[in-house]
Amino acid sequence: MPKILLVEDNEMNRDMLSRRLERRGYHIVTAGDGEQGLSMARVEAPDLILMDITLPEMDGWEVARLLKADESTRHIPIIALTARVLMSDQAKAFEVGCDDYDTKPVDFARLTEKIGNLLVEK
Amino acid sequence: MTGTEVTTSGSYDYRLVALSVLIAVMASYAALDLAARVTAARGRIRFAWLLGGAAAMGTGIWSMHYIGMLAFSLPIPVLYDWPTVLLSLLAAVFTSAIALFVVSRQKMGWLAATVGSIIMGAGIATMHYTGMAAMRLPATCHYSSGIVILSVVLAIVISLVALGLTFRLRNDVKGKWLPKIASAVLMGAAIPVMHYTGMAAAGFGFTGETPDLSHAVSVSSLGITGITIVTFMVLGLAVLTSLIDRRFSILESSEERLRLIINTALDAVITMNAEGLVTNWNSEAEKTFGWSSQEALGRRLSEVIMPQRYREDHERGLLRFLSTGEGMTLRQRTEITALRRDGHEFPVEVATSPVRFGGQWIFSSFIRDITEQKRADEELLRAKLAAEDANRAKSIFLANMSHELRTPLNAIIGYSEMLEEETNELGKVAVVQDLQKIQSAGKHLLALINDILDLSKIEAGKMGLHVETFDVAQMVEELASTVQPAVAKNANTLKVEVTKNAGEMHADLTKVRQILLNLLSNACKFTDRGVISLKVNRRTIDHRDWLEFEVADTGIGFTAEQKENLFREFSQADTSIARKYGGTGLGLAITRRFIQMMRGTITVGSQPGRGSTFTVRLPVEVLAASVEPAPSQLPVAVPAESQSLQPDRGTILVIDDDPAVRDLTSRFLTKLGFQVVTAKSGVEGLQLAKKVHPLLITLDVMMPELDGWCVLKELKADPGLAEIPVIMVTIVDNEPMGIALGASDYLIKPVDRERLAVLVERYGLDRPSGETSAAFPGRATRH
Repeated sequence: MPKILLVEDNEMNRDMLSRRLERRGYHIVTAGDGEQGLSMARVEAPDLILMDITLPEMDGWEVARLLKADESTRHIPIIALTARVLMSDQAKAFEVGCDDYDTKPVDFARLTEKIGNLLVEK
Repeated sequence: MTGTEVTTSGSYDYRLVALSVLIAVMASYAALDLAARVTAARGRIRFAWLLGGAAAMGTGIWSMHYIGMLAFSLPIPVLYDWPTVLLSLLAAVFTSAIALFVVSRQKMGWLAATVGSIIMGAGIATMHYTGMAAMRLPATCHYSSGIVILSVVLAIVISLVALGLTFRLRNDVKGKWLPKIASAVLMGAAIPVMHYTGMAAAGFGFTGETPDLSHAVSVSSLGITGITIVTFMVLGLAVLTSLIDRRFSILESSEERLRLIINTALDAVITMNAEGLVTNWNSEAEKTFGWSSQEALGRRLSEVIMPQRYREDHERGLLRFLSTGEGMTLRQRTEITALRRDGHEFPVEVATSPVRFGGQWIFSSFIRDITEQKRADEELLRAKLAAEDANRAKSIFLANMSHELRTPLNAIIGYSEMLEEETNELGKVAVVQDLQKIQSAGKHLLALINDILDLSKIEAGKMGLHVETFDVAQMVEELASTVQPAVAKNANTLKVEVTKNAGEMHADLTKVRQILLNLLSNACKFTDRGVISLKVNRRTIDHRDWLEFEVADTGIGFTAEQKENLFREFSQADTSIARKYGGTGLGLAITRRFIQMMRGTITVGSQPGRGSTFTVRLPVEVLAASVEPAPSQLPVAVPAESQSLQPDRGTILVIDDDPAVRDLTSRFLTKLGFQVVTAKSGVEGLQLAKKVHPLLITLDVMMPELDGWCVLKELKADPGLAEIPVIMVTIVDNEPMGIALGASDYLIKPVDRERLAVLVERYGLDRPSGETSAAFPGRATRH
């Protein structure tokens, strides 16, 4: 059962997304801010990370950058999730090393497809 | 004629006849010439011309008449009664005066012409027959009444023709001398016709009686010579005087005209001689500089109109021009500062041309006060900057808002989808349907937000084109399958026709797709059990290749009035449409913008109840650069409550190295009722902070030498200043640095005025003394 780390500060969205993914058979661990997300990624060693970008204190870009700079977490695929739909956000997602990008509100079918693809590639 | 008398007939001396005709032509020419002078003159001068002209002309006509009489020689001696001769001369002068008066009036109507010519004809006839009556000879004179009447009629007709011609030719027009001479000849020939007709009316019978010879004189050939010479002299003098007068009056009027033009000019027109002294000073110069022309004439120009500091340069420039012929500011428009009499300095536009006149240089300058123009320019620039700021702020606001709206929507859509799955598994169909309604409402809201965001991006000029080459038929095929669920929803059928030569297109695929999708889903929405068709054709118009997409339906259509609002943001055909069919009202607005961005066109046609047709034409080759510039927005009004002036609410210190920002910020804060002190560098800012101890400081980060962070550090290190709230204003997004150094809040350039107002109210107003504001309030609520 693949393990997914969901980093999301909004409690409701965190709950909703994790429950829906669990129904698809994934094991979900969650983090409520960037700091926590960083440490969870190191401790839990998930198979994939869903990273909300707009986080308080340390934002998702920074967390992703740090994870990709770290030898021990570099291999974990990251999907950036942002409510901003500017082209520049998409570009930035790839620039900081994210493996994929999607917008919120999530199109669940599309998101699970992306998750599936990344897990297979792995 | 009576039978008892012996009739006699005279014979003509043809040399004298010719002379009389010549004199008549001369007199006619003089008449035409004089008429012009009388017309041009006014008042007493006109009167003098009229009298003089009448005398000369009258003399001419009269002398033609007498020479004509003398040409007729009878075999008996003829004497003339001189008082009667004088009377006939008076008749000639009077007739001429009438003629000149009539032709020199502004208008000549038929009535005036008729009356004039009757008087004139009668005058000429009077002169002629009075002249005949002056003859003293031993014979009686009979007149054939028919020929007399004929001669009078001729006189009147000739007069009419003469008046008409003279009136036509009275104005001096260059190059018109030929018609003038021709009409002089015509008139000159016509007058003797009358004369000799009159003569033919007379028959002479010898009586042998000695006539009354008390005032009679004889006219010898010497007399004829005298009369001729005097006549030519009088007529010649008249024409000569007329010529000289004309020359002078042209010269005078052109000078007068020039003077008028210069004096009524809206520019100050000033001339200066080679010594630098004022030689001309028009009335606008008096107004502009406050010196009257008497005061200004003869003074040094530089001392009259230039501020002290520029005078030396000006004098040097003048000397240089006189010695080398070069001048930096000559023969072009330049903007300089000028001085008024009261010491006020103001911007002017000057154009100076050197003119060589009578071996000397003179300089003529046209000077215009451009104070108003400058002010208008500055205001325009400021308004433009403000408008751009406001527009940018609006776009940022919309982007942020859409983000804030999406976050809760994420939960709504997500949970309802999840619940739907779960409930479906439990088989509770009724609940599933309700959940689907929540979902579809959520998705509608999402579409709305997306549309708003698109529109705001287009308006902010952030929407770019990503052109690529793609196959048109393939794109349409994909589109047809995407739109199929929407088509099926109202039991419609979709017909797609793509021309075989559709080929490839170089355009923004996403936008082309969205344009067609918008049109097709609109067609689906407004059609029930009908046909929706999409036709694609390739056309060449004006040597350019276009792809034409035609989306037609058999739906409700729209009226001409509804068509007006079709492409307007947030407006559907009418409000009931929104209730019945849903939709954001943004779809067509965005569609049109996209089409504009690709330099295409969209046209619509419809019949209410019969359906509508949208035709989109896009260039086959869309240029990536053909992005529509963001439409300028009007400046966003400052909220009403902040405009009400609340004087003296305290002092705010604005530290910024950009003068435009300083200006704009201080104007805005002044409007809110604060005193504003500005500093253009960090160092100056620190000094002023110590001096005025402001209520609040706005601090720019990027400044040369001492930057904002250093200033902030120093401010917070000074116990006397540490309590003053500082709002950092920057393009550098570095919030944590601000907090660490003790800034109260943070604004990102371009400064959003509304936010600035909020922050100023927060920190500048109800701040209990001694309490340092919390750093970055509101942070916790940001996501």
